[in-house]
Amino acid sequence: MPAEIYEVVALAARFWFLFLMALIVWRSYRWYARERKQRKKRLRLLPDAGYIGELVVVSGAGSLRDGDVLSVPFEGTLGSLRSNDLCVPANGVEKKHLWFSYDEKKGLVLTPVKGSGFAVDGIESTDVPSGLCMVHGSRLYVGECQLRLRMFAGYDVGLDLMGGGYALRREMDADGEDAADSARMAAPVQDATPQQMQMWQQYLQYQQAQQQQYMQQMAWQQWMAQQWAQQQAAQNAAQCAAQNSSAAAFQRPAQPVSQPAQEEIVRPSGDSNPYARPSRQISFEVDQPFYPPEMEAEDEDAWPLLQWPEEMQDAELFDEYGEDEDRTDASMPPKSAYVGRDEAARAKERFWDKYLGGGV
Amino acid sequence: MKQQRVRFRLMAFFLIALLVVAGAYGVYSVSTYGSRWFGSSYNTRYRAARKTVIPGDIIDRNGVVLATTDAEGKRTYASDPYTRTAMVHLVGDGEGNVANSVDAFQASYLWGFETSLKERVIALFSGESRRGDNVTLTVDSKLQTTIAAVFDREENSKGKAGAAVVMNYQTGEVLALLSLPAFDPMSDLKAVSSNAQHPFWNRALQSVLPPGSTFKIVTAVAALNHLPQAETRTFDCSTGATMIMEQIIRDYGYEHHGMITLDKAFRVSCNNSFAQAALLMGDEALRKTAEGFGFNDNFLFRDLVVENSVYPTKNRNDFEIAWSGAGQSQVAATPLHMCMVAASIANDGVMMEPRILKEVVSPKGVQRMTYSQKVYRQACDSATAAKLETYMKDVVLNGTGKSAAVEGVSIAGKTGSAESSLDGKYVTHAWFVGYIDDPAYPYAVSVFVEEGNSGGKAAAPIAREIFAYLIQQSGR
Amino acid sequence: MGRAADRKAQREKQRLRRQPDRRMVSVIMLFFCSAFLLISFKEKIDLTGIALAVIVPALIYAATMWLPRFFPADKLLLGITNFLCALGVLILYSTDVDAGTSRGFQQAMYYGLGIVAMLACIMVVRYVRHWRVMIWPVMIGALLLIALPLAIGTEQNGATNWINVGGTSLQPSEVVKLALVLILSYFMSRRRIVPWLGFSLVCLGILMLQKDLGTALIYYFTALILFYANTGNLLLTGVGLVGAGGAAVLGYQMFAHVKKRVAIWQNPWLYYETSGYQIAQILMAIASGGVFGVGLGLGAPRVIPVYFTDCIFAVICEQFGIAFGILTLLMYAILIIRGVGIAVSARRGFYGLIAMGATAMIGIQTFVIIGGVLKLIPLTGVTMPFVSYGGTSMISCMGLIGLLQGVDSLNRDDLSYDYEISRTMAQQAHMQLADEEN
Repeated sequence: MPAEIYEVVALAARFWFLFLMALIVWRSYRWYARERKQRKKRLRLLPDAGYIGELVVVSGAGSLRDGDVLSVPFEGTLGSLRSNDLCVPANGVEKKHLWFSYDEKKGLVLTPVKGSGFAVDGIESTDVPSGLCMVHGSRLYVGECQLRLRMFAGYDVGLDLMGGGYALRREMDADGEDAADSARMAAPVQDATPQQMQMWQQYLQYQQAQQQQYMQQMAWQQWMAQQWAQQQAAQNAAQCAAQNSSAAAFQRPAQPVSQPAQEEIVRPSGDSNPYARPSRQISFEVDQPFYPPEMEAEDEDAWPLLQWPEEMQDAELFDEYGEDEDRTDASMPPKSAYVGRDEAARAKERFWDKYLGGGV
Repeated sequence: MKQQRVRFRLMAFFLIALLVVAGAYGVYSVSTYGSRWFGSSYNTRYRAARKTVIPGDIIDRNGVVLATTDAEGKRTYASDPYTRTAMVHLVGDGEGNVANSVDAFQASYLWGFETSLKERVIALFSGESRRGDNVTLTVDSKLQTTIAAVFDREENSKGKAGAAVVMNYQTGEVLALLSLPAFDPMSDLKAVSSNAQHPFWNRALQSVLPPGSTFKIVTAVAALNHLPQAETRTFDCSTGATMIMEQIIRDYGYEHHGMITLDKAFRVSCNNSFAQAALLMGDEALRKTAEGFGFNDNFLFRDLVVENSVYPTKNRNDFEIAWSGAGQSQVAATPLHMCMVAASIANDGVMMEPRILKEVVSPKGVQRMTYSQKVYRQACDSATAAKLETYMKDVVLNGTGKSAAVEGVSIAGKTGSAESSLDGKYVTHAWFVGYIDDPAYPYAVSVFVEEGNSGGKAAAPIAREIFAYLIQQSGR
Repeated sequence: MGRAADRKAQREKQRLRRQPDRRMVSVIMLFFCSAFLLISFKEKIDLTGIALAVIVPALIYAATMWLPRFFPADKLLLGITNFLCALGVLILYSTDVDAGTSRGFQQAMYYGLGIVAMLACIMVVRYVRHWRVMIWPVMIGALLLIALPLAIGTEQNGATNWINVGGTSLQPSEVVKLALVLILSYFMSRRRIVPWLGFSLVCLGILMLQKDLGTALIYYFTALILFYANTGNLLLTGVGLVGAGGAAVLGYQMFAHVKKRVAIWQNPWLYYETSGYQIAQILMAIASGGVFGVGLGLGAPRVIPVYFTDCIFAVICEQFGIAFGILTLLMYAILIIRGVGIAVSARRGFYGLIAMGATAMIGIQTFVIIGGVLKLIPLTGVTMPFVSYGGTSMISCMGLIGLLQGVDSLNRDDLSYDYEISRTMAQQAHMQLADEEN
């Protein structure tokens, strides 16, 4: 290409490139912003994300009331200032009292800051210079207050140490004094957020609707069975009459002739009873076990079902991961990709074994 | 951890701020200095354009073609050798020997960098080779040639180096920008470069030397503004010498003027008086006034690259301050700047930016830009300017500038004899700045003769010739 | 039921079309396809250019959309990184066409190396658990590497930080950057001052001996940023800053080449014939670019010394304009924002510091080189991340991005773990409720 033409083309192209570059930068920024928004949405559904458990105030924590809950992150500091991750404004608690860190094998490991003293389950921090470990249910005595650690499922350590099972339940049974706070701690449902409650309510509604539909199907099937029974009774009566009327006692009764079901569907009149029987004649095979036929589309339309609530029309509930308009990585269904272990499955199994006797 | 997260966000903000600062600085420096960098004579990019573009013509304000290129790419200058010699510093020699000449500094116009895409496409299809834009300067080549001839004719300036600047003080147009010695761009340049007087220098823009007594304009303005009873008080020049810090300040030729007032001191250019005035008002006041006139400022004019003028700010003792009042010590300015100083007095204290681009027209006749004036700064108020005007007229009528007088017009001016060291020895340069006080001929002039010894004898006569020529070529 | 399914399928299709990753990657592919096609028609039809016009967009698509299927990598970071690397290849190729060099092609090879380095770093961050043991070999290896040029080094551009290995030259201090981030993060998160302080001082000392001031600057300020982020001790951070200023002044007084650098920073035109040539040519190139540039393949970029490594930003500004340069800066800014977002959502201090260190290093290196090219600070010998030609530069920058991706993948794992747990809990609680009702 001669130089002049190339020059003109290149000069025209620079606007094109600048436009594309601006578009690229804009779209990168939008992508980043969208990811952030989706991540925030997801985190809102997981209010406990990032925390391994809770420290519940048992007694003596200054301005915190008994029963107040402090969420415990993976690592951080505990002290009386608000800048700490766990703010315990009690007497005897330093500005920055101790560092805590979650270790998968040991639990919550506490190390003191410059000689501050504390105790865990009766063991003083001065006795163990490498740091004290807290497991699910341990009590922490710092300053004048007593805190008790409740670890979230999946993080609770000590299950192996204490031979499996929910350590808390055991302790509850043994020690009647703690029934009060342990009762508080035993019911995770109470901590459910309003959103979770709403989700469960919707699920319940869905269950109800499903049950209704099921009942309608059952009613229809029952009616079909009744029809069949009636027809069978009529046939039997006819047979008996034929037998009685026939001279030949040794004549074998005539084999019943199977007739195909005639499908004459009559739409129901517009009355309000959804369980009203439509008037149609359907004949069945007799002498055969009864298997109610599948509901055809016309049958479905013939039975006006209860409409599902508006918000459940789109069946968003069933899309577990949320209808995000533009799927990004942040909205993809997360995979438990831990290497070598599957804590989630184990946690599930543990709970179901304990409460539901193994599976549903 | 919570705290750590907060600090992470803070660090992110800091890093982003760093990048934003870098970006903003880049945009600022390219927009302010970009044309200068591009127009630097070291820039080889427009030479690369030689393959595809024929550079445009450089034309003076009256239509005289100063430089043109034919279809083969050979550049020729004005046909008259005197013209092209006089104009060479302004126009350039095509080899980049003269710094910031028009052929380099306006390369973006001359080499067609400013042609729009549409025009390029049309040129492509029409098949003819592309031409750059034609640049019309505000300069009058006949005037400049005449000034060069006058320099050569006068016995006090013959063979000496020097510079002359003529400006329109109302609009800022530069009518002449001469630097001597000059050379013929179409001659053999090797011989020129070995000339000991450095003909490649553009003395009008690049020689920063003490302005001598012409600086007394600034001192007088400062005195009027900062000294109480400046017009009525008297300065002691009875002995012709003032002792300051055990050193002597003396007048030219050891003249003594007695007890004189400011206007008389200005007329006779009494160093003692102005030294005393400078000491009385203090360095701060004088420096502020000088900076009001543009000293110590970084000149970023659109069309010209001028060396900055200096009013010293360090190591000020009484002796230095005293001599600064008289325009010596380390006070230094270019001939162009001194012309601007005179022009500001003429223009009621408003200093216009000197510009040389009158018009830029594309080869097809599309006008790319036309002259627009710009106020550089307000150097002093009009009342003070009026007073200085009377002083300066007095200089030409009765004082040291008598040789600059022209019959029939009112000339205002100031002479100067500035001592400076050149190659190890002390020399005296001759200065004259002045203007015609007539709205029909709104021109300010600055003449500088290197080693001219006396402003009144060497520089003022040249100025007279310039004024006479300007009036003859009436109304341009 | 059928209608709901239809609607769902329709929305799925719409969703696929509007995914933000596809949208950005498609524009990037269009950009590079058109750019390479334009260049390849410059003098004679260049087959390499046309091949690149197909290969580079395909590579970008593969690296951004398919790579995350096999390795835990973040698409956004990959997208930005790939764009910058491809931009480097484009610029190098556009200068190759006249010069007859093959830097564009070599840069594509180095990009492959960089991807390998990135994946290696992701693996290191994800799978190495016993840092208490592993950090010491890393430290010793890093010290050996950075001291190597003192023993067998060769000099390039005034700094003795290169070694020649079998025909190619490597710069070990770039690779040691990765180790620096790991070491600083580990010891700072464990609150042990002596190891990281000692290591940093030794590194700085060696770099000073090698006269590599730009890299020393980057090391120092990254360490300072990490120190402040970890401890929040404003006093000591201020002392560090003052110390940096003092060291700069001391260096100026003691070393002649520092004086030279500062002099040409202030006025390069005075020293045009000697040392100021580089920065003067840079300024002229940027000025001739103006806002929109002179056009791809036009201009005179090869006049600038080392236009392909340090001063490649000047070439970008010349050919595409300063507006494009500012937009490139914005891409780096988005990278930094994302990196810090990753650091903030890390669960453990150690990983947060790794992410922050990687981000800070990229950010400071970008600022140092762009500030030098724009004459905001004196020009030092550091390269522009991702864009500059050079194997070790690409390895180190992609390695830093790999560290970031590693931390991001761990964050995602943690989040998905929490999600599983909470889903289990929700189901569990619902069943309890249902039981209680019955």
